[in-house]
Amino acid sequence: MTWLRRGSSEPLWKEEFPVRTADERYVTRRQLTKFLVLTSLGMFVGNIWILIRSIFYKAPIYGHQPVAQLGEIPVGGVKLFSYPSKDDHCILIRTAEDEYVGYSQKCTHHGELCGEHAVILGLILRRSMQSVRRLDL
Amino acid sequence: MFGYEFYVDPSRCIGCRSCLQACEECATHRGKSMINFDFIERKESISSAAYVCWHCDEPTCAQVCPADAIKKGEDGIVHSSLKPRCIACNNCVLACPFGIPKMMIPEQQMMKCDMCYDRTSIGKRPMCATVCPSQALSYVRPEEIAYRREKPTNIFYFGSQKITTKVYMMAPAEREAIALDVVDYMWEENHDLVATRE
Repeated sequence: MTWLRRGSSEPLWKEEFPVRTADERYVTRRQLTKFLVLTSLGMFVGNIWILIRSIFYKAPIYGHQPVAQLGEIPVGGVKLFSYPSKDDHCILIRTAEDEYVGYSQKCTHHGELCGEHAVILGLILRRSMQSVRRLDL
Repeated sequence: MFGYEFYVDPSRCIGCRSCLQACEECATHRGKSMINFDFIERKESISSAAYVCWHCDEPTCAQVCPADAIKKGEDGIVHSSLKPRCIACNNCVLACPFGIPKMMIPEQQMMKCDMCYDRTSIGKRPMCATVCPSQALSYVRPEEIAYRREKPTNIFYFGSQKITTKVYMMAPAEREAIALDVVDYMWEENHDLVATRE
């Protein structure tokens, strides 16, 4: 926070804890009230901005991407892949003969399996075998 | 403030200890004397010296205080430690070159001479200066002290540390500053029971 200070040869702690009472900075009740009101106003404006942004927000649409061939992964086996970009690391797990699940490796949604149509980082995580076939996974 | 200054002249002290008694009556530290009273060369002499806090321009006691408890007011008075802040660490007692701060063990607080702040802040004299019969401690205007043979100085050298103070010491007229080497005054050096330095 040095950019907030005026030029001074004294170290910051000496300014914070001055020996002379004349150098002390007191916060009056009115100053504190101003600070609280302005901070509350700032937070209110910020929330309005977030609200407006969420109204006009459009979720990005990601394309289909082949990840593995059917039967490539044994039951209980995994395959690592990236989706939608190469920096978004994911893992595909074959939990049963006809069930595949996918997780993002960064956000595993508290370790839970995501249900039908659940989306993490744009990746459709859980699909039945038919859906997998339809998605060309 | 009010044009008065404090002057200490140990050569005038007669050792009556009136200042110690009067100091105890001050309302800012009732019952406790903040005067530093000492004998000089006790083996050979009966001369004594009473002195108060010198109220340094850059108070070492306040600079070493880790709790920000010692404050110097706008009128130059260095006050006793603030009770809610003082942690009784003794840093100020050890650091003060004049040996002024006193650690009050029962109160767990450092107290020192604040020049009877309840009195001097409204233009009255400190208790010690009002009772000193020889005016070894005097609180007068500078033009009054100019009549004395000694001249006031408020510059002290402790080794290489230069200290300027609010309270004046009466020194020989030719001396502009008082330089002290503490080692010179350590009596242990010449004591029969202490081995002398090779």
